[in-house]
Amino acid sequence: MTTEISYLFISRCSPYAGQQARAALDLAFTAAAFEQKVSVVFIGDGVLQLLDRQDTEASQLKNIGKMIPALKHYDVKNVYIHQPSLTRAGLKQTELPKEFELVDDEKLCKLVAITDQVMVF
Amino acid sequence: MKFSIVINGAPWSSPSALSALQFAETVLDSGHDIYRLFFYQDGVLNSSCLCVPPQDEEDIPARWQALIESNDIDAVVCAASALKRGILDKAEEDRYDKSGHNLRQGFTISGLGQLIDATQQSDRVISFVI
Amino acid sequence: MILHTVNKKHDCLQTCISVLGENDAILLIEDGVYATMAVNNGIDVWENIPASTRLFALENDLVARGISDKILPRFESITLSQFVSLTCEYDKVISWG
Repeated sequence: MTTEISYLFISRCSPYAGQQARAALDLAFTAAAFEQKVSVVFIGDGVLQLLDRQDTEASQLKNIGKMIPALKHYDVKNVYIHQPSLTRAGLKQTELPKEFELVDDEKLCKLVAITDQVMVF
Repeated sequence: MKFSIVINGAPWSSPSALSALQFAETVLDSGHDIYRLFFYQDGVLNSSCLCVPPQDEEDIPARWQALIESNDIDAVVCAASALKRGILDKAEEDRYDKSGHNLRQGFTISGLGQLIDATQQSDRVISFVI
Repeated sequence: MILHTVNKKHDCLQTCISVLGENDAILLIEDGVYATMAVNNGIDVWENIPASTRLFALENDLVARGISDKILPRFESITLSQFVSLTCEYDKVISWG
């Protein structure tokens, strides 16, 4: 890779609605593995991926909640939670990973503007 | 300009695969280049050689193949997405001891790194989402 | 300057609008074109969009859905060639679905 560009992956879907949540994370991990500057924002139903007590053993689904800590493992430092989405979902920040930063519409708008590649899942 | 196009939707399941195809054709008609087509998630199903659409519907996989072959386009199908959805080339058929392979001519199976590469090498990257 | 493409009429459209920057543009495609209609489930999503935001809808998708004569005057109906030109005119494209 000769160029470093910045990526923002906007994850909008709930964890088990389909494959979108997984697709966003896989791409974030890949971009990070290629040493690119990666940011991820969880917005809308996407904030539901972050709930800390997901237990998929009985349902036999792939546990998306368990994939979230891998963001840190891949050195993806810029992980954001859309605050208004949290409020609309009736969730408290204490139920979600502490190391993720809350952002409002204004901050997200700036992030979208300055990032080279923005992909929505 | 150099374009890369990401196709996320299966043919016929949503309008997005056909939208992507029509956009790709128009990019070339407009005199631009396509660096890569990247088929991700359900989009990998556009590369199947086993689809038999009704005669009154567009044969989207065949049209992709025609576009790819007549313009020598690099068409990559995401390996992880493909395997899960039963899109295999000969190598994967042998590797996993399956009964057949169905990847269309003109497509290659490769990793997500090819999408990252495409975003770096292209002037514009357009995704057609589900 | 960003070109946002939106392929559904709810939900993702709202999210797109919430991150709209000055001089961005929105192109509605596929089922997103239903949001060009003057009445869209009783909500006027376009009310607070800045005047500087250019609004487009893909002609083929409007015609397919039989709504070419129902779109708000603010929208410009464009061809596929014009869609390609727009992608060159704007710095990047973000696709919402």
